[in-house]
Amino acid sequence: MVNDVSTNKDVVSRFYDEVFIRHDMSRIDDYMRDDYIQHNGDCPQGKAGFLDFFATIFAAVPDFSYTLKKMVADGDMVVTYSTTTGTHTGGEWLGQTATGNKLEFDVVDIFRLQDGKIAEHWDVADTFTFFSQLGIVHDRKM
Amino acid sequence: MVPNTADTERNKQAVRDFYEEVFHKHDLGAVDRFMHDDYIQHNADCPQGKAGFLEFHKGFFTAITDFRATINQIVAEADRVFVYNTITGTHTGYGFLDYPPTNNEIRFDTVDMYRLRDGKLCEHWDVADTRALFTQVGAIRQ
Repeated sequence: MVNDVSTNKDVVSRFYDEVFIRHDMSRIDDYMRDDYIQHNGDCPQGKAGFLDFFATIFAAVPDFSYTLKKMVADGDMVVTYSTTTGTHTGGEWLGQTATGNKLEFDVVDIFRLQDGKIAEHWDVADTFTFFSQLGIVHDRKM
Repeated sequence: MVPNTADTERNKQAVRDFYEEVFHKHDLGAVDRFMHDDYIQHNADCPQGKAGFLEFHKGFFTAITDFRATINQIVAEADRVFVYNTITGTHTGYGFLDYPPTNNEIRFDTVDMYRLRDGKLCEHWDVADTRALFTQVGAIRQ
């Protein structure tokens, strides 16, 4: 099966804009398979797990947003490098009650696409920065 | 501009070889083959240039003599190669920044993002699971 790299990039771009910037899940079925395989240990499996996970995040961080820095695509893979931003003013997130703290940390998301939909996901995040901003970890000894 | 498939494949192979020679065999003498002198480094803990890379990794390999970066995914497009990898080893020595040895098992994920010019590495960005890394090397005040 031929992978259409430009279609794959398009799907991920639209998914990002709608979900992570506009918090609009109404077209998620167009972008993601029901059996979405999730390798981030904090996020439950499947499209259903993804929706639950982000419902909590958007409640905790109502101004949650992403700025895309780089995107590369190769075969059935699309990788994005972005900065997550927002303010933790809403509910509890990862056991931490809202502090009003500003969040700004880098993430790389790795997606595998299948028949034009997101099928599998891995990620790496700058967790020291993220958890410090949340208030869960403290200073790094320099 | 249509990416040149041959260059993309050549770039991916160069990066695989770089990981094998440098991150597995710790052959810092091999770095000249893979990297431009004016290598631009965006990781704030690592000094600039090929010289900075050599200094930083000499320390890293002294602190973690069984340091290994295992490639999980490698994705390339045009002049970019992105590598999702897992770093493992044992923190038995001095040399990783100013942290004394902990004898802890080190295991953390990272994505290294490279730009290549004429088949050699010229620029680097990364995102790493820094909470895991800095916890393992004893750097975080809890």
